[in-house]
Amino acid sequence: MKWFSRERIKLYILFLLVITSFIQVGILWYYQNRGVPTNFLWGIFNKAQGKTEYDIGDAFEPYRVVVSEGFENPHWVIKENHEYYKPLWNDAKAYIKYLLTDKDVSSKGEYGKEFWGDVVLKKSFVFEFKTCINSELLAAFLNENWVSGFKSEGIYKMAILPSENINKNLTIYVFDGEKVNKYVVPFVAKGLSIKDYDDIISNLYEEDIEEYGVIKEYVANYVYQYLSPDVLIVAKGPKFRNYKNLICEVPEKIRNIQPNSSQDLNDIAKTVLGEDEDDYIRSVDIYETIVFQNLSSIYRIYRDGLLEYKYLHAINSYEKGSEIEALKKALEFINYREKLVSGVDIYLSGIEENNNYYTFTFDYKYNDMAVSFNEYTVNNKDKNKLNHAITVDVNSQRVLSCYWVLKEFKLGKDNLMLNVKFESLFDDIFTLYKDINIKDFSVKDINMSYEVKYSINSQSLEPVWIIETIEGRQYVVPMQKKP
Amino acid sequence: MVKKISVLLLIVIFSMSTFMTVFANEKIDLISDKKTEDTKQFLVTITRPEGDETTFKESYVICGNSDKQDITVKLLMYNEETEEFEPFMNLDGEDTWVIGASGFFMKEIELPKKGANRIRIAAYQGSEKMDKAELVLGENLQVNTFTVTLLDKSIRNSIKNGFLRITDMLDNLFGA
Repeated sequence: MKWFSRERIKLYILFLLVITSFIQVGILWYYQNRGVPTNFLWGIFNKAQGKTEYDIGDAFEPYRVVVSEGFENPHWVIKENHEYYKPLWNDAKAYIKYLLTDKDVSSKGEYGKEFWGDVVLKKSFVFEFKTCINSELLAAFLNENWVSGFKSEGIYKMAILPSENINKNLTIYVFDGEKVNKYVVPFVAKGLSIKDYDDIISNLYEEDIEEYGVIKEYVANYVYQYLSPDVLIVAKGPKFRNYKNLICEVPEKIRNIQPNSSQDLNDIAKTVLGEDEDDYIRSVDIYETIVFQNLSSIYRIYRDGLLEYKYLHAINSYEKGSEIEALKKALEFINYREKLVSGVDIYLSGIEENNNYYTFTFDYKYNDMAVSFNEYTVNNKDKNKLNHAITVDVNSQRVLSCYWVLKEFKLGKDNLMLNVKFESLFDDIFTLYKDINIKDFSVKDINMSYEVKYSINSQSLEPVWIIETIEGRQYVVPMQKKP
Repeated sequence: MVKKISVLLLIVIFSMSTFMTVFANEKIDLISDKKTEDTKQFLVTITRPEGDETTFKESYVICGNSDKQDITVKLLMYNEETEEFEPFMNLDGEDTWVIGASGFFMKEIELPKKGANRIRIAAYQGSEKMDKAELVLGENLQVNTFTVTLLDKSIRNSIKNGFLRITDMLDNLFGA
């Protein structure tokens, strides 16, 4: 009997050791990702409750909507706050959904990329993204399954031509960056009719809205390496247009932080880290950089508003996952901290697939005018250069690194009369950048943009030209002021 | 003797200057003369107009490219009264300009009348004030003439509304 009870005790101890070892493994497993060991239990409860997932469909917006009646007629950029923006974009989404899901969809023609120039010279409603959104991602954005005969690699630009087809169907041209596919589809029920589209154009003629031409109408390609035919340019009308300056500041919460104030640090920690704020050690270093760190990750917020995030453990290739999963993680990360930025909209500007992860870039727009970062210097020992407001490396499980220039923007009071004529801009590029060989020169896009430079102080930004080449280089050209 | 030589010299100088004026005028005439035939586009490629064109808009943009340096372009419009091509100003107030560093020019003009507008674009290598005497058609002087026909907007509306009589179109083109 005595033997029996000793054996029983041994058995209980053994069970206890096995259970505690399992718990310990669990704790370490969780600990490797983030947080202190006690969060292991919270993690279980949180998972049980289920986190609300970010709807990635909210991030699906075109970079630009351009309307034109065709050759020799003006091209209008429809801004996001314009009354026609929503009906046009909702209609476009309905047609994208149709292209992806209707089994009867088939391409009615495939053309080279030069054909896109012919498309934009027709009466068209064009929806442009800053990067090609592949079909899987489009399906995820629209919460649909891709089952149709949609042949394009994705959508970089899409044109709706409501009156090209003689059988009263709607023609859609999809440009994926390499080729143009033509689709002919019936008008969607409850969508805009031919008359609605015509009325929109007629009404735009009556409005005081800036007019553009497209490069294809005026410039021969043969002299230069390549000029995208649909680049919007000003060829007609007054040489000077009126613009305002933009005031750009480091967000107030970061700008006014007192290094010795734990309250200030707590506030910023709550905004940046949210529920995980207790998991991180907080400090302000000698350069007044705010640092939140634990064993798995580190956040640094520099004095210029740059947020740097790094995951400190090694990454596994099997965690790469799909582009959609990775984008969801990136958007969740951004969405949570978006309140640190004010006055601008954030849009997806680039997608890159790497060996073990994806890189997504995002940029800012102020009232539909781009805000750009060109070779923006990171003030750390690496001295990295940034070309986007947000650059996120991410896999299906977590954000691996992020550079995010946090700024607050508001409209300034300066009235600037700036030369918008394409001829002046084109001459200025070659005058300013002497190393450009005309025959090797290409243009992918030209935008007016507010360019942000490194500064810990308030900056007054004036519009500049940003010329993007097909090789990915950016040229910044100041706009000429009216003498 | 000195007097004679001086008089002779003056006569020679006067004659030469007269001949030069005549010679220069001939060159100016070359650009303005309606009989001057078009050359190849060996200095500047005119991208608009691309041949003879028809438009509904008074505002018209002339464009061209050149891969050569130091090219001056002169814009002229045919005047039926004088039967000559005369310098014509773009909306920036220039009838002559030098192509800039991009090798590209784009000038907006207002077409002076409905119907056919005969536009001449002359280009030569050298500065704006270059002596016309040095210009040789087809060698360092390029001349190209285009007809841009401005149609009445009523034609466009008629086409849009699906109703256009041939007589109306001819009336608009040539005047009734």
